[in-house]
Amino acid sequence: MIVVDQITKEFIAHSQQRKTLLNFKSNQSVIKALDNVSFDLQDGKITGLLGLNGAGKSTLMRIIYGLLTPTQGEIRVDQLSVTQSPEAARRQLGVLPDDTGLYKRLTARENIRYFGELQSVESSVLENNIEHLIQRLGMEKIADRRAEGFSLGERMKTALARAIVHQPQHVLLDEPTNGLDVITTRAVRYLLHELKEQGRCVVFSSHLMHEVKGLCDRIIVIARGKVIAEGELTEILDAGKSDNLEDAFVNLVQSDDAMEAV
Amino acid sequence: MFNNMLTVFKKEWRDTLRDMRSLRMILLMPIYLVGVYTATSFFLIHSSLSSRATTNDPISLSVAGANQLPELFSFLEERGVKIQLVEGDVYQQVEKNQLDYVLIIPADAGDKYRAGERVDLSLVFDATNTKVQGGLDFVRKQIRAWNHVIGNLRLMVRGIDPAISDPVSLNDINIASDQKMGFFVMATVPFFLLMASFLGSVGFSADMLAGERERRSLESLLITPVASHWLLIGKWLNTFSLTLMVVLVNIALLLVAFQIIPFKEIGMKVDVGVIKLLGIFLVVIPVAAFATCLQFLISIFARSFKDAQTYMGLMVFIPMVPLIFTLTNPSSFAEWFIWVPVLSQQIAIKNILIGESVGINSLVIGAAVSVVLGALLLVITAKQLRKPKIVYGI
Repeated sequence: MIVVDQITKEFIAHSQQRKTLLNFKSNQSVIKALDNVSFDLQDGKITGLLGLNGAGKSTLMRIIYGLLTPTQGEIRVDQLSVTQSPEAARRQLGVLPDDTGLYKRLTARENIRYFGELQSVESSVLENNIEHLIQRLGMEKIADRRAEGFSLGERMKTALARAIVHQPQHVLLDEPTNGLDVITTRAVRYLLHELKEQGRCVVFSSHLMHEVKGLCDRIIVIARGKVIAEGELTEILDAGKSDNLEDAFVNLVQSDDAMEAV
Repeated sequence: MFNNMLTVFKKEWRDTLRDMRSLRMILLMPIYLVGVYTATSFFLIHSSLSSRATTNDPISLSVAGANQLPELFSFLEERGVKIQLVEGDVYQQVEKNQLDYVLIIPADAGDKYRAGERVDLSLVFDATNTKVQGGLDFVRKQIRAWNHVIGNLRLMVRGIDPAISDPVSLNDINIASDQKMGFFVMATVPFFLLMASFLGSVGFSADMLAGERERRSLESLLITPVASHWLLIGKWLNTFSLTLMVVLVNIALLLVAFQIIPFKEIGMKVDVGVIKLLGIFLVVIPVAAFATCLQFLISIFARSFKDAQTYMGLMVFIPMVPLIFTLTNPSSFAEWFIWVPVLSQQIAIKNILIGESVGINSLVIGAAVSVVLGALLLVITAKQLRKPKIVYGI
């Protein structure tokens, strides 16, 4: 279980306005990317983080895997504080960051194996895991080809396999189905269900309504760095006063905008 | 966690070996360096030989102002100076480079000379015209010598021992010319080796951090639980071993170059065998360690792969400083030299090459300083590795 406990993240934005030719005025303004965000991510469930571009989904993900430090608050992965023991916490995580790159001179299999080894997975177990993932994601044809020249779908599948090859208890995926074709999306979907069945905690962020609707047990809607709705699909639909997720989501985001304006 | 380091090291080597183009490029570097060294050596030796040959040509002296001092003329002609009389505005002719230099003899010189008075002669030349220097010095010396002879004769005629006005006589005995050439030829060898250790695997260091960030694979790597320093050491060992490979190739090529370059023609005996070169290799190892650590520090702070390569290109100047220093002050040595990385090794390699003794103490100090400094740079780099500013640029 991952506990997100009152997380606030502020960035300092530098803006420069030119008053005269040589007189630059440097302004520092604080941007609140996340504002007092709290929720739990439970084992055995798929949770979707839903939000517009720039809502703070990636920032939240990055704080969970410890490459960004929160201005306030704490993340606990199975009781382990990410800020205090980042390495132990990372051991519990499998992460697919957004727009991740492969090593193009290594084959898909070597890419996956490298990360398994870095996670210190014992070699016979590792080979089994790799084989299983290759089958599950339908990667048999590309497994021993160098990653150079892979299509978007092939890259994504390799990156996904690489992220979960060590069978982590918690799986974080930042927009995993972005730009994938139907077949590949389905393969990813089956895999996520399998992970859920194994009792793992699966989190993925998306801005695609049908993805979230079809996959998630719980939905967390984020706008302007705040959680504006949380719960099962029906609860979100109720909160958004609509019977389809897209309308409900738009209603939620717009009512939040209206609140902000007041 | 040591195993993780080995994993990174093995992966980077696999990656490197599949990047044949870059590998070929870094092996071109020692070939280029030794090629330049061999060519300059040939050039230096050749020019040293030809500059000696020109001194056999007769030196000509233009004289303005009649034939007033025939004694001086015959003295100069005896010593191989060809005298030619010139007329007109000699200043202008020298200025226009029509004449190299002119000796002006005043009209009353003959009378004054016979009366035993002082005669004022003038040599007109243009100091910016570098090719006149050799001949000018020679003429000057001969006129002073004649001056001396005549002065002594006059003293003896008056019954005075010339030693009264000449308490000391100084003889210049110049034997250095060839050895100096040899010194130049040898003093540049450490530079080429240090250059190879500094720039041997610049591209790979830039690729290792700046490049990996640019290709967006760094973030995934940093999400693994492997400690920053193990990740870094694994990567660093790869570049470090690559650099050593480049240096080894460089040394092997030098061994060949030493056989080709005609040191004998300038009377120099070069006695550099495999054992000496291995010793030199050992001296270079700590420099390579220091240089690759510095490359990593630059690589992590660079905004892009291109940036990193540009900054690392500027590293060329580091081995150049001690080279210029030792070339301009060949014999200077101070105790603190051995504490300065690169300079310390520059001196050690030079001494090994010219067969002077090298103190074990100074070798150990020089190596230790480089390694400690390098380790420090690597620690700084490791501390930066997982900072948001490095990973995300914010």
